[in-house]
Amino acid sequence: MEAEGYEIGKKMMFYTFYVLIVALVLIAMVFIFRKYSLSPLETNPLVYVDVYVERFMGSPDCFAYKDSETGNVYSGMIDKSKFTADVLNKCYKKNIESPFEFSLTLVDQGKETTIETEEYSVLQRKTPLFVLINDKGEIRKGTLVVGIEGIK
Amino acid sequence: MQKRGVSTVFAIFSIAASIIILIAATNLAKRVATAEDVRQPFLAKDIALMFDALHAVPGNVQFNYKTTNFTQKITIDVIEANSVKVAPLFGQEYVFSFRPGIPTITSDEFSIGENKADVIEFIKSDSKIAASKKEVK
Repeated sequence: MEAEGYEIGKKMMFYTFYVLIVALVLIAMVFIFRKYSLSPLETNPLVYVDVYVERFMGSPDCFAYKDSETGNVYSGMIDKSKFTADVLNKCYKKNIESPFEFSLTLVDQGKETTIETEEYSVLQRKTPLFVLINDKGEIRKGTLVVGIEGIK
Repeated sequence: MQKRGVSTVFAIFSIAASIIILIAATNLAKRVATAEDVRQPFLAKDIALMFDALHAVPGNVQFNYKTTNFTQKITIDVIEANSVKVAPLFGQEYVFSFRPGIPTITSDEFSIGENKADVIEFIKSDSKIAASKKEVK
């Protein structure tokens, strides 16, 4: 009887540790898979910056020139009359979770006009872009200097 | 008699433990094999980026975004017009934000994953951008 009792105790110990170890291995696998499976989703922040800069230059709700007669939108042509902080903050609204803030400087015939988004404070990167400027129907070459904040 | 009874308990216990471990391991293998842990956050991030991209389009747009082989029902919600939340029936939720602008985003909550293939339809018109599940015949 003593030997049988010992045998039962041994089995119970085995199964207890067996279940615990297998459960721990499964939990560890879930954490490891989750950690490494999400790493390919990390996106270069400049991808987002490119999308936002495209919005500034390509959307008629931002600074892109829109022909009032034909309705055509000229992507890459800045309508100088629209180049105000008010328009910028309407076409790129505040979002506390999104890190990017912009300072835009339009250089037209050597004269600089700078506008900024609401939360902009520190310049981290500056990129000059060649654009066309439409000033009341007169088209000139110019430069849009995009100042970016929020790149980690 | 006592020994036989105890052996039966152990047998039931080991079968139950084996079933639980088998189900857990199968679910884990299924998630890894179908890459659900990658595809769900990818979907949230991609839809958020899609809204950002649609803001930059100089005109009106209708775009069909195809999704295939999600193994469970997934709810997609645009929260307060600045984030996309993807919530599976079981498991973790993923939220990614975008920067709204003009036109504004008006999108209701919708679900995918009930069919083998689903289509999310993005429509940009003059005053709004909307995403919804397109019924495919």
